Amino acid sequence: MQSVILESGWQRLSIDSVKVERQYVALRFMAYALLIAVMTTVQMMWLDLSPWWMWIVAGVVAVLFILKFYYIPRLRYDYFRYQVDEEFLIVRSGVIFHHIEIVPLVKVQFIDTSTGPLLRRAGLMNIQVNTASGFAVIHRLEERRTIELRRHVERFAKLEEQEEESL
Amino acid sequence: MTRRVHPLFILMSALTHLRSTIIPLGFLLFNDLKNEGFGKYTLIGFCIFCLVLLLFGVASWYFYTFTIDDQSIRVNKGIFRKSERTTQRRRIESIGINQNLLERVLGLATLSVETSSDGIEPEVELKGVRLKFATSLKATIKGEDTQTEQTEATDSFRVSLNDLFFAGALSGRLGLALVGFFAGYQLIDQYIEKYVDRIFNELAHLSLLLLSGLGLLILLLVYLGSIIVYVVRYGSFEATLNEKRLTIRYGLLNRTEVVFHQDKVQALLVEENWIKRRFKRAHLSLNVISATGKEEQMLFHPFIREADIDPFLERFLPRFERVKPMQYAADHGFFYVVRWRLVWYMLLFSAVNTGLIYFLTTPLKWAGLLLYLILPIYYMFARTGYRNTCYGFKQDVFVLRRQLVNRHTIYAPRLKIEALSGHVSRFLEQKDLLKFEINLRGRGHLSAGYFTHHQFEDVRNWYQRSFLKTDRAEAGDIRYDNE
Repeated sequence: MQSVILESGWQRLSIDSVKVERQYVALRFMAYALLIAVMTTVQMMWLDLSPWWMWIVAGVVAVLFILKFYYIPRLRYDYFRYQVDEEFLIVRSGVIFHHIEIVPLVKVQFIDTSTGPLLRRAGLMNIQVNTASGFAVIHRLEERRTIELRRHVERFAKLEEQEEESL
Repeated sequence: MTRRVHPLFILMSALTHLRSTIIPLGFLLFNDLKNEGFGKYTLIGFCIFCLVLLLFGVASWYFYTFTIDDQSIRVNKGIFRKSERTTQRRRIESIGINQNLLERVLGLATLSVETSSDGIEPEVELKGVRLKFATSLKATIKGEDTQTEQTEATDSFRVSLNDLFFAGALSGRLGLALVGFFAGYQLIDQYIEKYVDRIFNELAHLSLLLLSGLGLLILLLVYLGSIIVYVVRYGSFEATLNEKRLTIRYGLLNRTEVVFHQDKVQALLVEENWIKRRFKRAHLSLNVISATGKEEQMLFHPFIREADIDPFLERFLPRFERVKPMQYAADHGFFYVVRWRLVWYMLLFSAVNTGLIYFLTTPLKWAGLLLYLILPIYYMFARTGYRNTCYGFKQDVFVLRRQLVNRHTIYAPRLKIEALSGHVSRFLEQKDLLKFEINLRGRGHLSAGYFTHHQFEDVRNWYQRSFLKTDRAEAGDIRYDNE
């Protein structure tokens, strides 16, 4: 029986990946906001300053937050595609700079999968496929697909390349 | 069987450590000598220091062991922090024997074994083994008889001193030599500071013409030094093809010998700088997971005639049949290649000129304006270079040529390309442009641009053919666990 992941061409990430990325960004920026609040309070209460510059810092952080929370996850989701065919993994990624990477599965040296509390809640995982020259990574992929992809790649890693000479 | 390296390793280790402290130690002794002659305590201190180094060498030697069996090579070392490294023999890419000057004097060598891991250092490094023993170990690891290697040599070539001299002279290493000169100066600056100050004070009284002459003389000396360093480094260069194994040896003082299977060559790089192209000469290097651990691009020929490359490759690397790259970079991409460089140079020259005009009072302050002449010259070079940026492929070999001023052409067999990628900004993607990048094992990669998406698809189709053993792939022998 043919593997499910090979059935169609380009695959997209789950829409949940956008949600998880936003949750992660929100948490991170909450920490930044807290830090800014503490710094401002310290300057006002203990150093007796009127820290107008903290408005600038807060403004920059707010702009970054809007970009990272609203636009970037959506852009990433729209552009990101991956494809697994009989022998190759093709990953198309990027937000401002776009990359397309074609990795023969027989060249894979090892595979890393990872997950965290936010990803686990949404049933997602990260998978990194490493070759001797670098790696291709798929962030926030559904757990079922990640495991299936890992198995598929592992099978190829056991097969013989056309040349694997020894000294 | 577990073994130790030669006991002379102790002496080598002590001398190596002594060498690394030679500048501060020499300065201390010199200062002492200048004041009151060597004092009793200075000599005692120096002797204790040498003794500590020697004891450290003994301990390092004692805990430094290695084991070679049918499957693997294991090295144990470390006095306080122990380490053990096991390397599978079937993953070996190349084996090398290096001898620095000290090792040559002591008749020792360093045996290095490299696999395709992404570390910078060699996977296995056995320091301080007898040269003869290193050679026999190399043969053991390769799984062959030492006698056989000597009798089966089929083809070899040597690079003449003349060629090495010209290669060094035209390799454009002056910049590197200057960096080395100033780095060396920085190192000893603190010890000779007062003498340098005195020299500068003396020089300040000299005329501008004399100063310029002096500057030119220093440049010339550094340039000659760079040639000498090149000749010393690659002197007695010799490559031998034995069956399908290539052995490369070079170095007048530090001797290096690396052996690898012909098929382990990841890519062939042909470099032709602007001057060498005038002489119709090129520099060949190989992308090998090299056992020297320092360079992945191993010199193959420093100064070969353009016309001799094809027969030379046919003799030593028949797989790398040269392909003429016929697919040229997209014409409308040129502007995007040079725009930021031009802006950067313009800003740099403007900053230099502002400084000169502001600080100098003599008419010399306008001399910086001449820098702007570089911009159209750079533009012309870049234009010609970009027009020559191209790629091509034939059967199993891919060729990518990148050129701005210097020309780099890389020939890589399809099966050795670990990944093929394309990169582009959102903006340029809309202009139907992108850059190619081919990734090889280790840190080797080469990118060139800009090409059209259609051209990329063309390469992608060529690359996306089966990498599996042909008979298995063609027979549809790819089976899945759930089948």
